[in-house]
This record gives sequence, structure tokens and C-alpha cells, in this order.
Amino acid sequence: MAAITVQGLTKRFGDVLAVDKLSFQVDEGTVAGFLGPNGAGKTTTLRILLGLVAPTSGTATVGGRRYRDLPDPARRVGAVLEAGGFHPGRSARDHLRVQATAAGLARARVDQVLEQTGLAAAARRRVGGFSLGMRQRLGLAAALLGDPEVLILDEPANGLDPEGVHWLRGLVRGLAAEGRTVLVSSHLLAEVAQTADQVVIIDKGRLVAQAAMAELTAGADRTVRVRTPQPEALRDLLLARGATVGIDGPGQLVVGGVTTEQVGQVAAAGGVVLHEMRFERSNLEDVFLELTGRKGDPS
Amino acid sequence: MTRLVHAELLKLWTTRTTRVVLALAAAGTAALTVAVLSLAGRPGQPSLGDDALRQLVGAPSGPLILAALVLGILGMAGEFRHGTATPTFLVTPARGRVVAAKLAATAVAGLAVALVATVVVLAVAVPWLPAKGVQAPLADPGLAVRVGGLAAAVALSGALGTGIGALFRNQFAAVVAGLLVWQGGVEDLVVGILGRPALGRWLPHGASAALTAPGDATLAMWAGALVLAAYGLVLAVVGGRLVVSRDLT
Repeated sequence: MAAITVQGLTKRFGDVLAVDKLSFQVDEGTVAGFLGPNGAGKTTTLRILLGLVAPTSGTATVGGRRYRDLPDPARRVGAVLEAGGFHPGRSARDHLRVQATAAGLARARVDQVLEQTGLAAAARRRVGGFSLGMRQRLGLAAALLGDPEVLILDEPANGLDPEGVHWLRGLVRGLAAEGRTVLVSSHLLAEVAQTADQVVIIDKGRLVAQAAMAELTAGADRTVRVRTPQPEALRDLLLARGATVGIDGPGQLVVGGVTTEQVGQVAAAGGVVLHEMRFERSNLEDVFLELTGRKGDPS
Repeated sequence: MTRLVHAELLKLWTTRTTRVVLALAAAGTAALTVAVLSLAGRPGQPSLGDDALRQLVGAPSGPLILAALVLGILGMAGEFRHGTATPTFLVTPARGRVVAAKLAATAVAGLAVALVATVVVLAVAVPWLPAKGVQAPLADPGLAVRVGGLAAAVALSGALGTGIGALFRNQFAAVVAGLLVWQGGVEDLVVGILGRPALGRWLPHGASAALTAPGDATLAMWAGALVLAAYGLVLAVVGGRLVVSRDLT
């Protein structure tokens, strides 16, 4: 059963096509990483899903309903958007009190979520003096107020220090272990790699890949990096052996589909000198960069 | 709806602006009352009669109306300025209900401002007037009418501010628009261009004057209240539609 369904979603801001016929699903009880480079349309998609932005066409639903049609949305969906959204003069506790009052939630929840997000000590301070990390925590606290079964987190790790990122990971794991559905966006794959069950990758508003984490990593590993003064000769020999070969700089080959031993044998048989050979297990980040076609782009 | 109004009142109460405005309204009213009372009867100044309390209660109406107007504007336009519109509309996706709750909450805030000011005026003036030889009874139906008119004008101005705040996405623009309404500048211009002075009493500034300084040139109090409420409602409906359709990016 899909907790979140995005179907043919398109959003145009003037001349800019921010989201382009995007479709994907997030199953109930799973943690989905929503990935893409900055400006890929992640935030717009999430804001449409949350009823804050109207789509040009297509639908985005939570539990089969549009967000604005959900009865008691705060009890169904918790969301953390960018670290803004706080009146600088209001204290963390008052911000949560306002939210809880509007949502008709018990006052006791305010103190519980402050505790849960490690903000209890700062609860009476004005948000204007909060660091980015503390604002993220306050955003999470607000999202958890209604004890929702679906959480939508937009770049929640932004502004958190390493300790905070670690804490966030634990929190997301805990929420998932309780059977909640979590959709968490990031422009860094590593941030979600350890927690996500599935990933949805978008670029330029379009879906690039939706896959289980395991599927994405399978078949993407195993390359051998070779440095040689005779790159052309070695390339031809390896191609004849059935390997895939790419040239990566002067005297540098990236070879796929063979092991280091096989490369060594081919080189010895062909009398090619090798200066360096290295087995590379390409990491998820490479897969991600490859899929979004941004490899080598400065960003 | 009750919980939304409650949440909006909580929002107002938990920002410093509201408390500062309330404190300024109290302090300003006290200062004005003291000034009028000390100057009364001196050469060139009007002396006080038995309608002294009515006059004193109405004296700070202009600044109080402005205070409520500004509270209303900041309460609505501030949601966009500070981005709090996002959490607000996440909890309550039916944005029209939020605007309606704000109308009610700022009207209540306006009533509070008027009430505080009235208490201040009476606290200063009632013990002082006998010393100036003025008999101004508290049990005066005319005084009650004035207090009621002031409360209505200030409360409706708060709601009017919400409407103006909804109309403008930019808080600064909303405040400027509010000042123009309050000061009556636009109204003078409209009346001047059309050459119909009688039109002025139907415009917001004129309508609130019917409540705070009723006289021959103004509408009846009830009519003034209705006209002022209608302006607030129309602005809130038009502005509310903008708020509802606005993309919160």
C-alpha cells in the first residue's frame, strides 16, 4: 500500500518548469530517500505534496488523499521544510504551543517533543537567537507534535553538525522502526544511504530512477583503474577480452567487467607496462552522479 | 474554529510587538489624559464640563485605532514576512479559515486595546476631576455610548488591518497602505477629486469617526460600525482569496 503517491506531477513557475511529469510512490512503513542535485525540484514537489504550492497538473496524495483534504493533517503528516517558518521573537515553546493549539493537540505534547528533539533547555529562548541546527530541531519537534504516521523531511540535515547528523539518523531510524513512513530529501546521497530502504532520484524536475537501495548498488560496482604509458594498446587488448574501457585522463583507463587479475594477465600477455592498478568499488555517490548526469560539473 | 481563534490570539500574545503596542497604548493614553487635564481651563484652552469623561475617553481614539490597525496588518502580513505561513497552513490547509480566525482574533485584540485605554483614562481622570471642580458622573449613559463606540472602532480597525495585511504580500506595503487609510489621506483625495464632501463619511476614516466622534456630519453610530465592518470584511474576502491561491515556495 502506497503511503505517498505522486502521479504525473507538473509545476511551472512562469518560464521555469520546476517539476516535469513526475511520478513515484513511497510504500507504507518505508524510508525513502528523495534525491537530486540542488534545484532539481525536490522542494517544489514536497511543497505540492503538502498543499503549500498548487500543481500545474497532476496529483500528489498522502494515504490516497490530497493534503488539504486530509482531516486533521497534523495527526497524519509531519513535515520539516526549510529552516525558516519561525517568528524570531517567539520562543521555541510558544511556537509549538501555537501549533498544538491550532491542531487541537494536547499541551503535554509540546514538552514531549521538546524533550525528544533535545530542545528542552532552550525552550524558553527566542527563536531569533537559534542556530540553524536548533531551528532544524525545532522544525522536527513541530513535525512530531501530532505523532504522525507519515513524515516528510526536506533537507533535514542542513545546518546540523556531525553530532546532529548522527542524532538525526538515529531519530529517522527510530521513526521507521515504529512503522512510520518517512520521505527525506537530500542533495547528498550519503546522508540517506544508511537509513533509506528505497530512493527516488530526480533531476531537472524529472524522475531519473526509483529503486530499492539494494537494486541501485548492485551492478554498479567493480571497476579497475589502470595507469599505463601505453593506454591505447591496453585498451584494444581489454576490449578484445570483452571488457568495457573508458579513458580517464592521460594514461588512465577505467575498466569494467573484469577483475584486477584478468587485467594483469592481459597486460602481461600483450607486453604492456602497468604503472598502477587499483580495484574500485564505485560508491553510491558515483551512481547518483552518473544518474543525474552531473559528474564533473562544478557544484 | 474556536481553536483557530485561540491559536491566533496565542500568536498575538507571544510576540513582543503586541505587548509593546498594548503598553504604548496604555502609556500614551495616560500621558494624553494627564496633558488634557492639566491644560484644561488655562488661558486659550477649553475648560472641562460635565461631559469631561466622554471627551477624555474619546481623546486617544486616533492613536488607538492606528495601534489596532497595525496589529492586524502585522498579524497577517507577518505570516509571509517571517515564513510562519508555512507551519500555519500545514496545520490548517483551509487557509480561508485562518484568515477568518485572524479577523476574530485581531478584533478581540482591538477590544483589549480599547478596554485598557478606557480603564487608564478613568483611573487618571475620576480622582482628578473633582479637584478641578468638575462634576462628571461615571453613571452617564452618554459615557457608556462613547466607550462602546471607541471599542467598536478600535476592534473593527483591527479586523480592517487583517484585511489590508491579506491584500498585500509585502508587510511594508501593507503598513503604508494602513497608514494612508488611518490618516484619511486617500479619502481626502477621493472626496476632493469627486468634489463630493458628503462622500467622506462613507469611507473608512469617516466611518470610524462616526463611532469615536459622532456628530451632525457623521453617519449614525450603528451605520458607521456597519460600514467599517463591511470594509474589513470585503478586504478580508478579497485578500483571503489571494492568500488561498498564493504558492508558498
